[in-house]
Amino acid sequence: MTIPDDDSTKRKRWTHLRRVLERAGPFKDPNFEPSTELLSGIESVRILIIGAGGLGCELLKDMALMGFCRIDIIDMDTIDLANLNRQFLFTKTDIGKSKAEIAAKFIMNRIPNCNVTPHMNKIQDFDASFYSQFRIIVCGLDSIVARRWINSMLVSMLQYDENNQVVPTSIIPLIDGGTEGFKGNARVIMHGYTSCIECTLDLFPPQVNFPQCTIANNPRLPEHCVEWVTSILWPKEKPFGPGVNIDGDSVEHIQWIVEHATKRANEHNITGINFRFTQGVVKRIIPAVASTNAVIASICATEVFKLATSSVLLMNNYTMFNDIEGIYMLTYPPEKREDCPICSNVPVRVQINETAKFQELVDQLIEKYQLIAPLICTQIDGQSKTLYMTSTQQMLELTKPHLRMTLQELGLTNGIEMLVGDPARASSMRVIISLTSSMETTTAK
Amino acid sequence: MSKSSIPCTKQIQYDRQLRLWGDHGQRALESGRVCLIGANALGTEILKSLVLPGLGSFTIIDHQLVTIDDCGSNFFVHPSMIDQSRARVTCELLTQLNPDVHGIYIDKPSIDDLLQQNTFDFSQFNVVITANLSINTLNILARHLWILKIPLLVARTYGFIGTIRLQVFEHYVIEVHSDDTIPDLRLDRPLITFVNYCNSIDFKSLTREEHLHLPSIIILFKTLQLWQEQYNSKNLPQTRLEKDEFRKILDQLLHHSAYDTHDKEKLLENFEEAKRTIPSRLVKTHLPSTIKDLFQDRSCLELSHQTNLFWFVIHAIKLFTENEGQGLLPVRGEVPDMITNTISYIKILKIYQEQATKDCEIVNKYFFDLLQKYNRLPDECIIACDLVETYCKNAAFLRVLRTTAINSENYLIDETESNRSWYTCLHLCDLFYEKFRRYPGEFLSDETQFETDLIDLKQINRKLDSGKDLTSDSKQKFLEELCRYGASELHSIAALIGGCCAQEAIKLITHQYVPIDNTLVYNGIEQSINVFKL
Repeated sequence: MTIPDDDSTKRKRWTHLRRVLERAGPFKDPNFEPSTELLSGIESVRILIIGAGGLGCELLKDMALMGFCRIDIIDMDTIDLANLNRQFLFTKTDIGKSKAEIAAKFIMNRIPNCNVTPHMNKIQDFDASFYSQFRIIVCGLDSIVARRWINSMLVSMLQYDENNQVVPTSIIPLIDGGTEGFKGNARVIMHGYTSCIECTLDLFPPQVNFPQCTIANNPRLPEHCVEWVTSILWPKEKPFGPGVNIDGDSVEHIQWIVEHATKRANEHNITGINFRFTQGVVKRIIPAVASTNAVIASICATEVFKLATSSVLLMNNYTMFNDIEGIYMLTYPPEKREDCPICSNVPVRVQINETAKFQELVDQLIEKYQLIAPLICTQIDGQSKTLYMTSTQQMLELTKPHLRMTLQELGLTNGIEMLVGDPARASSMRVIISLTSSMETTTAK
Repeated sequence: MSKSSIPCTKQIQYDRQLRLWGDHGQRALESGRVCLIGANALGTEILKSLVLPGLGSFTIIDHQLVTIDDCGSNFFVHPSMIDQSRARVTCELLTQLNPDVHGIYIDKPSIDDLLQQNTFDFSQFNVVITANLSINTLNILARHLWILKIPLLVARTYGFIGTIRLQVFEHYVIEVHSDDTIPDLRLDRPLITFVNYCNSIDFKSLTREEHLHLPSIIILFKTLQLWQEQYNSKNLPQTRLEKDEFRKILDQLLHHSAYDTHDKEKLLENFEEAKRTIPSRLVKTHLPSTIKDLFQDRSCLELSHQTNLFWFVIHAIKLFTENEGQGLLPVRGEVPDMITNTISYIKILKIYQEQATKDCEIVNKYFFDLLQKYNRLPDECIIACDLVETYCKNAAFLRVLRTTAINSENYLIDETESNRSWYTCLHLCDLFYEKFRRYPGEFLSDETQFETDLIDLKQINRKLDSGKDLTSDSKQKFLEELCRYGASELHSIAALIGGCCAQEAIKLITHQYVPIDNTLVYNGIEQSINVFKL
């Protein structure tokens, strides 16, 4: 049973939205023209939601109730019991099933006329032709790598005019949200106009890594004991057989870690090891509550609605939220980096000593651009040459010896351009080497 | 703590939030009872973020039937349910989110009749929440709840604007969970056991290995001792000059005859840490003014048979501070991690933990004496042990929140703060409602009606502002924009206020985190929030 899809019912149903679509006001976007057509305009806008987790469930509901009817949602994950305290489109009977599929089904049942297409995939499974179908892309991810990947994908799809300016029609706005406990952030990214994910990598909290000597010799906190078990004892003892890696969701695995971490803790007079704590350290669990997800997703959804309708001005363009002590929200535009390796559209330059080994260059690139497993190619005398590649065993063996060679030996001369690919990027980055003489660097030091 | 038990289903389901408010916070939430008035988009979004984390029970009061435009804003209705009781429908769909939560609805009589009959018991709730309730009803309800001392959260959305107003007679914040707290190490008022330990370390006879692993807090304290000796002072270095001298002494301690170039290269991490942590470790230990105010509060000074247990603990801490504490609060008993070996760190940790336990025992004794004196034993003593420990750990951050009553609000204070003006302008829309029984701009079909509404709204504004009829340009703009919204409930705005309001309710129920004091305005145009006191 459902409501008729005729025009007058539809108009009645969306009265709330129509007031801001069919009337103008002093806070409208300069491009806004109030119209009765806008409502059906929203219906035809294609939206892509990336992630069907805490933010994704909220986003799907919010978008559907803001009048959007053509939504795609991507998530490769399946539903887990620990999701249910916030991922409200799932119930206990859905555990183990695809998040994207169950979320889509729930929304289409609850909100007839809304079409949701689920994709149980990784974002990397799709190419530019897939992403170019959408007017707006919204992200509710917990992975920084995935964010960087989609960011660089959208940049690679941009077109530039003769003055190297982004052609506005080639921009697919990216709305990105993130939460951690009672804190969250949301932003609107218009490549070429605002800062992008890569411009502001330092906005993400740094990963906590304990020094090796603390883990091995000087544990002080319970987490040091857990890390000792996972990084030293597990590889040594192989408690579940050779080649079996730690599964943070396996009760047996965690119990084994708890047992041995407790032993180590007791030996050192350290307290505080228990199952929940241990699993938290092993899985690097980020706490999450329903309310923060609701808040951050709603900001994203409001901005998508504004982008699609121009009914009021967009936010500018990054907002931080926190509701631990009172409620706090600050919005500001982070600076767009002129030398951003992703969105600046100019090759980046790397300075390196002419006598350096290739390893030093790789290390510098990894550190400077936070790469994960770079693939480096170049053209020498018109011949393309793979300098470094780790994704297959064969190529790793072939290119590993390069690390110990000098740049000169490899034929990397001053001003040569390399292409650097990485799992965190959908497209390669152009890097130009500028060699410094050993004299200069010594004096600089 | 030898063997740890595997978490049960419920603990796994709530795992991600138990890491925030703990098992005790969850227990409080699970015994929490919330009343919602208004099962519209906003109301159901509020309940959603309370039902998911496992609230005890909720009661929906709403006499309306599901309409077609509910289906364009409210997630907890379905088009097949049009003309059915909205309270019943939303109650059913909300409880489907989490079978642990008990939901009740009242669709007859209406809230107005309920208040008029005055037979409904609102004191059964931990908090009452209203969603877009009209001004007249709200005023009656707010007065009623103020007398009952039941917290009230007034939530509202209006186009791209949203507001929350908290009315609470007295709320106790026990665990703030503040993000940036300075560790309670008291180097200026050191624990005797700590001084003894430091004095037992002879800097001159340290081996290279011992010197490399010297905890930064010991380095700082030793430096402080030397500095105080040199300056014949009992304080911390304060002036620039004094601080420079302090650093010089620290640098002298850095040298060790057995160091080789390799040690120097490593930059002596522990000494680097000592320097880096000067601003957070070398701080004056004092009694925070907030807790001083609590000690002087009438409720603390005049305990009685009815006084809330909170004030008994505050009074007990006061007695500790005035006697054993020598003007200071009980020691918190936490030591931040520092670069050192296991034995040194654990030794220092134990020193602080043992003092914390001792202090807590003394507070506990005062507390029980007080309970006895005011005839509060034995019913309260069962819960008391953990309670005092939690209070002592959080002593520096304990707070009481008392807001004004909604009826004594003075709306007319026009502020330069633009988001506050939205609140003032919304009040004008309420006055419009009182007069016309609808909101300005509510009717969509008729353009001339919109113009008349706007004129009427501005008229109301002028009447209120009589004397200074020069209303600012920005206020005119706000009124025009609100008239455009015509009290529309946009779902995404309801979702934001819903999330915020639910979290405020959780704060009230668990006594963890700090609620807003006392009025929040959300501006969905520029995406900003301001909180101010009314």
